[in-house]
Amino acid sequence: MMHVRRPVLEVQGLSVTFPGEAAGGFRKRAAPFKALDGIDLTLTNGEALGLIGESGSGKTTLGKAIVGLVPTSAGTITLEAGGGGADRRGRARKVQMVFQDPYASLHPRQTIGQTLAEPLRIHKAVPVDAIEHKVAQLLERVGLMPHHALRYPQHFSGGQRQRIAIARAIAIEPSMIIADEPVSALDVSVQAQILNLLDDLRRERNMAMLFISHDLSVVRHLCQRIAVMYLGRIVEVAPANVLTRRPAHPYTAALLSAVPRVHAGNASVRKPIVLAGDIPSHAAIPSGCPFHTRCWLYDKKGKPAQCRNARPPLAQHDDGRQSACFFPKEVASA
Amino acid sequence: MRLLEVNDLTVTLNVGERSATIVDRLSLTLDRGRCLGLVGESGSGKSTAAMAVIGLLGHGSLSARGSVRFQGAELVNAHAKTLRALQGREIAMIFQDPMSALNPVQCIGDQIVECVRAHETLSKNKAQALALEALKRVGMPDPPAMMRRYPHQLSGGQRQRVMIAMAIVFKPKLLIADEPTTALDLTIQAQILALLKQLSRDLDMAVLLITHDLGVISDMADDIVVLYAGRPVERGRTADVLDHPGHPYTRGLLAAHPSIDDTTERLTPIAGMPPPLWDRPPGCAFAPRCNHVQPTCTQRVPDPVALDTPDHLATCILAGNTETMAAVR
Repeated sequence: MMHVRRPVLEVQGLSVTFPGEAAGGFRKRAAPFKALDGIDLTLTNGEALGLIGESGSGKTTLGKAIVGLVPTSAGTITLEAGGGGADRRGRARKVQMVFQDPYASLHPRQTIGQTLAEPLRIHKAVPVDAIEHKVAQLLERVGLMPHHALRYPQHFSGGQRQRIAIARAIAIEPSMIIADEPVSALDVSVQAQILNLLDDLRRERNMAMLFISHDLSVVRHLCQRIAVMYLGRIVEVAPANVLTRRPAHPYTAALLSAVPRVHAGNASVRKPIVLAGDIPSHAAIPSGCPFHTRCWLYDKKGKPAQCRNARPPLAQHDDGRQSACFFPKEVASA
Repeated sequence: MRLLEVNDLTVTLNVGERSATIVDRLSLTLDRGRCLGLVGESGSGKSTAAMAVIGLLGHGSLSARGSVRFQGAELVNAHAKTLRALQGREIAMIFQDPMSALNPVQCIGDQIVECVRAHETLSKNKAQALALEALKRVGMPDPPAMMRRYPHQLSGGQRQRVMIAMAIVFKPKLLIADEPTTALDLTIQAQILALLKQLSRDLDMAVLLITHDLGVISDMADDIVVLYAGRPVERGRTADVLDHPGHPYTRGLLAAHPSIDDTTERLTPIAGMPPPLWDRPPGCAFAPRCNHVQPTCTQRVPDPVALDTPDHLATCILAGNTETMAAVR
């Protein structure tokens, strides 16, 4: 079945600034820092976009900003027109979230039935007398049994809880789902079950999915496009197979080479790029290109002043990808 | 003489009248300079097995049987004094979460010095020199300044380096690393794994690496033992096990593992979930999730069978039988 591609989400110039942490002494605060800085992003219906980054890269903050869980300081977030107003409730109607820890995201003293009925009731998604039937349908759709509605979260394993969280997210049929590290707390054998479930739901409902993860391999399997974040900025966006084969940003290249590969055979062919040092703190984001302090290409090119002085924009390349590096061509040839 | 030889190690948890087997007849060998990977999912008994090897099960509800020989000396139910002489000196251990293993209100230098002097009567100066040397060896930037820092001032990667420094002060012959990079970012994980390899080479140190990550194992380990529900289901050289897995569970794990280089979109999950600790099925513990289950599978626990090489063993009734194996594949 062919669908017309229409944008479900448009983010333009989005910035999120957090107040600085308490810095010793009363009322003293460190300078505010930018968790997100000028993010542009579009997502069309039925598309899965993977958001990759290490701790502190801002990937979770971006997800939260889109659902309205953190205040933004600049830029716009446009969700597709349609049912629901512009307020929090209207937004929740269009975009729902699945969180990382299924042990913390379900109410321990509500039965699964109550948990799933809540969004249906609040958003008046189905008539009151049809709620029970809808809950049973949802449970079956995510691979559980209707009678599970009477049980509490404690009766379920991590994988089953994540299924319940997914059922809750799709209950009111949002046009978009944000899944923030939904499988990183799960074992490999169960992880694949949940990934396939998310993929099936995206296809059959033609939902957009923003899949936030630190695991490139998982994202590679699930998403059509991948965006890579570093220190609150997007440094590269490209179709998944292009980005993983021919990265156009040195950070992406380093991430790819750091992925531990299962078969020793092809790992030995590649020479891993081991980045020096830690990710800089948000309080001291390096000048120019924020990645230059750890960049292997910067070192290889004899530390060009350009990288220290100017911030490379997220530029469009002819093959449909975007990257924020002055020397994108030299990344792949390295 | 092998550095480490574990034979039929069994650890049981006894609570009141009930008892559960956490580790069931684990056998492995490890020599100096080599890395052995213990792979398994949550609850497979991999961490408990490591605790039994280093003699840290204590006198609580966990008890060990079987044999753990370190340089020929038996460690199972050994005298506390014997264990104490080895722990931290000959056998050291690092854990997943360095933050909870470090004292938040003591500076790094004092912590390492305290640890050094707990094992050997040394002057403070000498202990400090050892601590500095260890910090240098693990690649800490500016070691003298690091000595005065507190754990909260360090990044996750630096904290793990401190843990490793503390572990290698006495140049142990065996390092047990329990999920050492699970809490770290990808680029930092690469740094720590490179460091562990280098230390293993420089100090001729054996590494017992415990992880759930097949990628990390593939990168690090010379040999692998795969655990499922407390039982070793497959062991052998890393390349043999990963390229020609003989047990349906190992094959299932590999199929479920997303690979960055693989272009197929669909993963093949293993149906169901691991059995609960108190309710392990009779026979092969993997039988309820296995696609190739036979009537005999649920009747008795299969014995290990040699596959392509004598060192590559799988505990499956189908393993070794080339005809059925071919059918299964």
